[in-house]
Amino acid sequence: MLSRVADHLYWMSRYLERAEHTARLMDVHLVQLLEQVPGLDTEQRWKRLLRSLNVTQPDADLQDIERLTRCLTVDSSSATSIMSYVVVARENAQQVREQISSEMWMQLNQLYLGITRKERRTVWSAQPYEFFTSVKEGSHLFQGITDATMNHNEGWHFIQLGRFIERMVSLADLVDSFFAYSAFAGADDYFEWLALLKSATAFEAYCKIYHADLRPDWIAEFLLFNSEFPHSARFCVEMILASLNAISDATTLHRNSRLHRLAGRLRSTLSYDEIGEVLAGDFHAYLADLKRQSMDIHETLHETFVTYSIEAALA
Amino acid sequence: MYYSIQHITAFRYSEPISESVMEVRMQPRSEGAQRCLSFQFRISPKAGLTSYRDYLGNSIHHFDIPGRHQKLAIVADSIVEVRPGLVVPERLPDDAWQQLDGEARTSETLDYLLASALAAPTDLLYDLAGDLDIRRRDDPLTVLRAITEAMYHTFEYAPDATEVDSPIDVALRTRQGVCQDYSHIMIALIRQLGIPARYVSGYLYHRTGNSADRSARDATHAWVEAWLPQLGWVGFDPTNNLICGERHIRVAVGRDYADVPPTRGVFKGSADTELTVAVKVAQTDDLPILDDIQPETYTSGAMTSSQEQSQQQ
Amino acid sequence: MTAAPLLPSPFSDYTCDRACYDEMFNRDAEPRAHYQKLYERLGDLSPDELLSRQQTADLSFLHQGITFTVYGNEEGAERIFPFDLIPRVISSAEWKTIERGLTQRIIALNLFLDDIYHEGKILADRVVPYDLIYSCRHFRREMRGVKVPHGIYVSICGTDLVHLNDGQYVVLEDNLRVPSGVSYMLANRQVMKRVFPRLIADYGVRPIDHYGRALLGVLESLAPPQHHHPTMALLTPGVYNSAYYEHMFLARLMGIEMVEGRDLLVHDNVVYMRTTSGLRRVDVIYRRVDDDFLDPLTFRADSRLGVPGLFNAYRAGNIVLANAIGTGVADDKAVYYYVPDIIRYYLNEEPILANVETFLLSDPVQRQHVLQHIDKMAIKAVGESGGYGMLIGTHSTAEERAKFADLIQANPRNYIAQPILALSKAPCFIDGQIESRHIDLRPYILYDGQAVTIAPGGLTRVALRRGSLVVNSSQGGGSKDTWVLYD
Repeated sequence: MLSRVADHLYWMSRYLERAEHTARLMDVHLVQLLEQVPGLDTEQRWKRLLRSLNVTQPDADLQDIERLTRCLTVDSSSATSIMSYVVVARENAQQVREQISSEMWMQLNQLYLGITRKERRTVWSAQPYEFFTSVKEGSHLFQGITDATMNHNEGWHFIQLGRFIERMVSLADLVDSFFAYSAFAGADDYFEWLALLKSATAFEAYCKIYHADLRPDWIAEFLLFNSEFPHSARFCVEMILASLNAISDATTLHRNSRLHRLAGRLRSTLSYDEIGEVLAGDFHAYLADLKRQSMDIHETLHETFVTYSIEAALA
Repeated sequence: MYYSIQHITAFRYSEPISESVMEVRMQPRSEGAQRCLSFQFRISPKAGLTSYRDYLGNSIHHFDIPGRHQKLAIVADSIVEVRPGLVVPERLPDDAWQQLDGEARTSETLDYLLASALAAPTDLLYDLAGDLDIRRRDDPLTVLRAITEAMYHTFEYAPDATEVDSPIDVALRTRQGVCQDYSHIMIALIRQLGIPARYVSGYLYHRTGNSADRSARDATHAWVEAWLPQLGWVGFDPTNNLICGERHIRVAVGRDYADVPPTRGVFKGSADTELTVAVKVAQTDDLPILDDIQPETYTSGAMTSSQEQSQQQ
Repeated sequence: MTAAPLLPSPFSDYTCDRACYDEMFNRDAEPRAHYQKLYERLGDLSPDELLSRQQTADLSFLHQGITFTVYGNEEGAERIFPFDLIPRVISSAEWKTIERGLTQRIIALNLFLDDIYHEGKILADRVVPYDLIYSCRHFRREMRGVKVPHGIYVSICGTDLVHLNDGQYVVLEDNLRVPSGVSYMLANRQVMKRVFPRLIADYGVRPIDHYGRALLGVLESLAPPQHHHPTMALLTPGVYNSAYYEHMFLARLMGIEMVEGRDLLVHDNVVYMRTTSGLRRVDVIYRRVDDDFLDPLTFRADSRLGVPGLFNAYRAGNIVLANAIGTGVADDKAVYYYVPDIIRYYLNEEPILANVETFLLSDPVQRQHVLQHIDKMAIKAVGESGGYGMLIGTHSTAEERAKFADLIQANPRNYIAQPILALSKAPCFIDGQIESRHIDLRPYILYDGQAVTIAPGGLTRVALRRGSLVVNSSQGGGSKDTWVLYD
C-alpha cells in the first residue's frame, strides 16, 4: 500500500476519533453545568475540560459558556473544534477515496454535510444534545460501516491504529485531568466520578463489574487495565498490537521491530501493573508516561511506513 | 591541435537537501573537425551515472543522489582534438539569399527560424536592428560578418550586468552583457533576416600572453551558429568578433541557452544554492598522454598549462 | 412557412428543428425506426413517472459521489454532472461507419506521430508544413528519436463527433492527450440499468462494461516483455483535478494503484513508488497528468505534480507512459485541418469520417475571410480543450468579437475558425417535460498496436441550456446514456 495512503487513513481515523471524543466530553460537561450539584464551580469544570481535551484556553472568559462552547464545537476557525476535526478527517478521506468503500465515504460525507449545514450552526445552541448525538452516532456508524464494508486489509489496520492510538492518548489526558481536579471536589464527589465514567462511555460497563459504587481506584483500574472494555487503555494497546502484527504480515516489517517492542512494553505495563501501587505513587507521572509511550509508537509508526529515508529503503 | 579541459562545478546548499536529480551537458561533441577523445566524469557524493545522446547529437549525463547532502561536486575531464575546419569564404554568391529561402523553410532548419523563449524579438531588439541598419543586403555571409562586428562594438562586456536567465531586454537596455547575451541577441537578430540560428555552448581556448579575446578566460563560453546554403552551420562569436575556428570547442547546440545549460537539477528541501564553476583549458600540439594509456582511462593531471578562475554560471 | 407538426403527449412541447438533424424524429415528425420502441415507452409513462425516475437517477449519482470540480470557482465546488434520463440511440449501421472511421483515424494519427518524432517524411514530402509542427506548443523536441513501445503514441483516445443535418457524422476534434469522460459513460449505463431495466433488456443494446478490462489489457500490452506481472499505476494530479473522480473510478475498475507525483521517485533511471513495504518498482503508468507537468527537470520546472527524472527513465525505456509524451501535437486544432491528408498519406485511403470545414488563420486569405464573417464563425485556440479559449460568433457581443479579432491578428497560428455547426438535437427530459437539446458524441478508442477497441457508443454530451451549442461539463453541459444497437 502507498505510504501516503496509509498516512491519510491513519489521520482520517484519528481525527474522527478526536471529534467523537470531544463531542462526548462536551456533552457530559454541558449536562453537568446544567445540574446544580455540589462539587466544582463552573470555572474549574471548564479548566478541567480544557485540560482533559489537551486544549489551551481559547481567547474567552471562562464564564462565557456560549463562546467557549462554540470554540470547541462549530467554530471552523478554531483548530480544536469538532467541526475542524470532521473537516480534516474528510479531507484525509478525500485523498484516498479509492481505498475506502463508497459506503464509508458516503457516511463521512453525510456527517460532514450534516454538521456544516447552516441551519445546524444557528440552532445548535438550542439543541446541543442533538449536535453531539449526530457527531457521536455519525462516528459510530462510520466505524461500523468501516468494519462491515472494507476489506480488513492493511489499510483497515492503519485505520485501527489511528483510532486506538488517539483513544489511548486522549484517555490518559481525561483520567489525568479528573484525578488532578478531584482534590477540589466537595464532600460528595459522586457526580464528578460519574462524569468521568460517562466521558469514557464507561458508566454502564463499569457498573456491570463494580456495581454502582463509584470509587476512584476502581474507576482508574477499570479505565486503564480492563481487557474487555473498548475504551480502556489495555484494550487499546491490545488492538494496536494486533494491527501491528497484521501489518507486519502484509509488509516487510519484522515482528521484532522497534515498533513491536514499543507496543509490547506498553502492553506489559498495562497487563501487570497493580492499581494500588500505581495510585500510591505519582499517578500524574504514570499517566504522562503512558501518553509518552503512545506518542513514541505513533512517531515510530510514521518513520517506519511513511517518512522512511530512500537511502535506507534502497540499501 | 589537442585540448585538455577540466570543468569543475560545485554546489553548496545552505541546508541539507535530498533526492537531488541532475542533468549535465558537458561532453564535447564529436563531429566535423572536432573529436572528443576521452571524457571522464566524477561526482561527489557518489552516484550512478547514465548518459544518452539527444537528437541533436548532444551528450547528456544524468544521475540522482537520494540521501541527504549539503555539497555536490561534478568534475568533467575531456580531451578533444580540433583540426582545421572548413575555410569560410569571404562572401557567398549573389543568389545565396534565394537559395537560403528555398532550403531553410522546407527542412528541419526551420526550427531555428522560429522565435525561442530566450531569443524572442522585442521592441528593443527592433530598435537595435534599426540602429545597426540590419537588413538583407549583399549576401548572407557578408551580413553575418557585419552583425558579428557590430555586436562586438555596440555591447560592452560586463560580467555582472546580467543574470543567467535574463531576458535579452536587460542587455539591450544597458548595452552590456556576457557571451550569453551577445549570443541571444545575435540569434534573435539573424532569425529576423530569415537565417536559421542556433546557440552553442562550449569553451574557448585563450592564447597565452597578449590576447584580443574579450570573453572571460577559462570559463564556459557561448556563441552562435548560422545556417548557410552550401556551407551548413557556421560559427560566429560576437563576444570576441570571430568566425569560429580551431580555438572554439563545441559542447552542445540548441535553440537557446534553455536547451543546453551545463547543469540542470531539481532537489527536495528548502535551501539557498551557491554555485562555483572552474574551467581549465590547456592546449598541446601532441596527444597529451603516454602511449600505453588508453584515452578512456586518462585522468587529469597532465595539464601543460593551467590557470584557474571561477565564475557564477 | 411550415409550422412544426404537433406531436402527441409527452412530446407536445417538443419542436422538431428543421435547421439540424433530429435524432428521434424524421422530417415528417415520425419516430425513426431505431427510436420507435423508446418513443412508445416514453408515451406510456406519465410526467410524474418520468420525474420519479429522474430523481432516482440523480440520487444515485449523488450517493456515488460522481462529481467534477469546476475551475475558476473559488470554493473548488464539486458538482454532480447533470444526467439526462432519455438515452440516445445509434443504429447498428451508423455505428459501423463510426467504428471504421475512428479506427482509420487512430491508426493514421499514430503513424503520423511516429513519423514526426523520427524521420519526418510527411514534412519532407511537404504534405504537412514544417512550421506548423515546429510552432506547435505541444510538439516535444525531447521526444525526437525516442522509441516508444510498439511505436504506439496514442493508445487511449476520445474523439468528438457531431451528427449533421444530412445524417453524416463528422469529427469535431481529436483528444489525444488525456481524454476524460469515460467514467461517465460507464456510470450512465449503470444508472440506466436501474431506471429502465426492462427497456434496456428488450432493446438489444450492446454492452460497454468490458471497457475497464480492455483498458487494462492495453496497458499490459505496452509493458516491457520481460515483465510477466508488470506493476501498473494511474498517475493523477490529485484530488483538486476536475477529473479526480474519474481517476479513482478507473484505478478501482482496473485494480491498479492510483498514485500522485509525490508517491513516485526515480533512482538510477528506475521509477519507484513509496509503499509501506518500502520502494516498489513501477513499470507502466496510465498518466492523467499533462506533459508539461510530468517532470520538473525536463518540462515545466514549477510543476509540483510531476516526478523529477521521469522523462529520462521514460527515454531509457524503463517506464511506459500511456499516452506517450508529445501526442498533443496531433490534436492541435491547426494540425487537425491536415488529418484527412494525413490519412491519405499513410494509409492511402480516403477518410471515412470527414472533418468539419476549418479555416487556418495563419493563412492570410483564410484569415481575411474569417475576420469578415467572424459573427458567423466559431473561433478556437489551437492548443486548448474543454471549451476554453473559444468564441461562438452568433452568441457573442461586438466587444468579444473585437477582442478575438485582436487576438487572431496578434498570433494567427494560435487560432482556427469553423463555421457554426448545427449539432443534432435529441429529446431530453427537462423541468418535467420532454424538450429537444443539442448533443454531440465522444466515443472512447483503445489501441494496442494490434487491434483497435471502441466501446460501442461513448459519452453523449448535452447542451442543457435551451439553444446552447456548448456541451462541455464546465460550461453547463450534461450527458446521457448512449445505446448502440445490435444488428
